[in-house]
Amino acid sequence: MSLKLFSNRRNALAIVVWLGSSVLGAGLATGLAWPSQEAACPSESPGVWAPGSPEARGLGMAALEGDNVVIVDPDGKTRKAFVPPGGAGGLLRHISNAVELGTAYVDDRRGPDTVVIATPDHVFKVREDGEAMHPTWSPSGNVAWSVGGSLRVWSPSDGSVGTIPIPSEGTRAFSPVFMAPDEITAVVEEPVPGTNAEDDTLDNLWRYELDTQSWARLTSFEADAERWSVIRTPVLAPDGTLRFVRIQGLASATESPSYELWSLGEGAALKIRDLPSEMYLAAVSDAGLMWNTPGDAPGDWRLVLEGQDGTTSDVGCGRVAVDPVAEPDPDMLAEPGPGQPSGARRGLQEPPVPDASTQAPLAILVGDFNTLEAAEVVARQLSEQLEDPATVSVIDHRGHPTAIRPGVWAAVVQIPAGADPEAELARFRTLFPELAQMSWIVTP
Amino acid sequence: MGSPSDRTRWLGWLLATALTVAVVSGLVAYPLAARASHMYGWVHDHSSAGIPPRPQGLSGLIATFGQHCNDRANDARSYWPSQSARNVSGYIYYHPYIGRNVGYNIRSHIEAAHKNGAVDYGVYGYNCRLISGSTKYSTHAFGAAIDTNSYRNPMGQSYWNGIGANGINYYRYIPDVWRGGYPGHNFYWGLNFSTRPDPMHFQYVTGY
Repeated sequence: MSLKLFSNRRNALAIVVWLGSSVLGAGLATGLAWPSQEAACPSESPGVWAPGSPEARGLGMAALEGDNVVIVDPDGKTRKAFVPPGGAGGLLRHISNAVELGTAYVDDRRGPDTVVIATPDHVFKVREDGEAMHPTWSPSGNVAWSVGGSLRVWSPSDGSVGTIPIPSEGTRAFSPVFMAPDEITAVVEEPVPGTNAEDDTLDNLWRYELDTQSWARLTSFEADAERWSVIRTPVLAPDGTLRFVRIQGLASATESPSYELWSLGEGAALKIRDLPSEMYLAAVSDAGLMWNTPGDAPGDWRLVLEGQDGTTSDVGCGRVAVDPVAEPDPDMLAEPGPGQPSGARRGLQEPPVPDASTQAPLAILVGDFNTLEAAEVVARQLSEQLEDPATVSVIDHRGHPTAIRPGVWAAVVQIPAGADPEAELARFRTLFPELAQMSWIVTP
Repeated sequence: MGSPSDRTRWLGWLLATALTVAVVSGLVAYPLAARASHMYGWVHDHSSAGIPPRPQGLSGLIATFGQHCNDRANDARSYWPSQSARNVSGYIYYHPYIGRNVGYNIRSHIEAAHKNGAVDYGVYGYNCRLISGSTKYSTHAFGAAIDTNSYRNPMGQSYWNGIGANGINYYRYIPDVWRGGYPGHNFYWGLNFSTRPDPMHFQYVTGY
C-alpha cells in the first residue's frame, strides 16, 4: 500500500485526512444505515439551459439522468432537470462542471463520440474518432478527457485540441483530473502477464506535467492474473487531496470484489476505509462526499450524499462519472443473426450436419481424480446415495475429450432430460457438500 | 479345377486378391474409424436448450445469468486445446445457461471436425472483472462470454486473424462456429463493437 513520500508536511496532511475519514467511516459502519431509496427514477420535466444562467455558469453539481442534465445543490436538498446544452443526442455519459467555467459531457453514439463543452455563453462540440470518456475541467478553463490510448486537452482560447500520449508503461489512461492548471493526474492501466487487455487487471495513478511533458507514477499497486486491483472515479477534494475508489478482487472468485475509499495527498496514497458495497465517487465538497450507488432496479444509479457528520441522504437518480448501463450501449448493438453470410473462404466451410431438435445430455461431473480407483470410489458413493444408480459412471478423456483432460478420471451423474441443470447441481451440492468445490455441469 | 499348376495359380490369385482387399479396406476404414472413434453420433443440439434465447441489455443479462460474479456464473466447464498457452490445453468455465451451446455445440463441433488446431491461445471464460476504464462489469463476470485465439486477436484489432495453433490459416472458421454463418450458435462477436473492436470476444448478450 504505499507509496512515495515527499515531505513531512504532506505526510502530516495525509495522516489528518486518514484519521478524520477513519472516524467518519467508523461512525458510518457502527450506526448509520444507508438511506432507503425511492422505488424507481421518475421522469423529470426539463427546463431550458439558458446562456448565462446559474446552470450554464457551472453552479451546483451536474449529473445525468436519462436524456437530461440534472443540477443538484451541494447539500443535496434541491435538484432541477434541464435539456442538455448540446441538445438531444445519443447516450449521454460522464459529466463534469466547474464554477464560472461550464459543463462538459460525452454524447455517446454508435461509432465516433462527441465531447460537448458548454461554457457560460457558448456550446462547443468536439467529435472524436472513437470512444471518449471522463471530461474534466482545469482551473483555467481547459477541458481534458480520455480516448483510451491518449488524453486530449481542449483550450478555451482558440478551441484547439492537443493530445497527451499515455506513459509507455501503460496500455490505456482514463479519468484525468487537473490537480493544477499545468498538472493532470490520471488512472493508467498497466499490463499484467497472463491476462489479455480486454478487462481491467491493474491500475495506478500517474501525474503528467504539461510544462515538461513527462509522466510520473504516484502509486504502486500490484496485481497478477488472478488478483486484480483497479482504480475508479478519482475526484479532487477541497483540501487538495485526490479521493478515489480502489476495487480489488479475484478473477476466479464468485463473490463481490471489495470497494475501498482512498486518498492521495501529494504523493502518499492512504486507504481511508472499506466501503460497504459497490459505490463510486461523484463529487467531494465541503458538504461531504457525493456517491453514485446502484439503485434497486437494474441499471439505475442513485446519488447519495454522505455529510461531514456521516449522515447520508438519497438525492435521487443521476450519474456523474459512472457508466450508464440501463440503456443499450450504442456501440454494442446486435449484428445480423445466424445464417447471414459471414465471408468465410470457400472450401473451409463445414459440410452440412443435420440439426437435432433433441436436447444434448448434460451431466454433473465430479473430478478430477488422478486415479481410476479414486473416481470409482466416489462413483460408488454417489450410486449408493442417489435414487437412480444407473445414472452414475466414470469417464476419462479418451471417451469424453471435450469434458475432461487426459490422464485423469471423473465421476459423472446424468441430469434427467428436461430437468433444470442449475437446480440439479444445487441439489447435488446440498446432498454432497464435500464435493461442491469439484462439481460442474458438463456435456459428456 | 485342372492341373496342379492351374490350382496353384488360382490359389495365388485368390491370396493376392484377398490381400489387396484387406489392404484397401484397411486404408479406407482406418481414418474413418479414427474420425468416428471419440465423437461418433455427434450432431448439433439446435433445440431451444442448445441455443437458448440471447438476452438484450443489462436487465436481460441479469434476468438470465444473475448478478455479476454470482456463484452460478462458473458452474459449467469444458476442455479446450491451446487454452492457457499454445498447445497447452485446459478448462474454461461459464454459466450453465450456455452450457450446452459452448460445451456441446461449439466445442464438440470443433472436436468432431478435427480442427482443434484452429484454436489458438488463450481461451478464457468466467472472469470477475470490470471492463477496462469503466464501472460496468465485463460480460465474463456473468459467465456469458468466451475469449478465443486471444493473442492473435487482441482488443482493438479490427480484423480476425484465423491462424491456428498449428500455423494453418482457418480464416473465419472459429468465428463462424461461435456466431453466425453456418451453423450459427448465436454468440455476438466483439469484432462488431463499433469503437473498440474485440475480435477474440464472443458474448451471449447484446446491448451490453
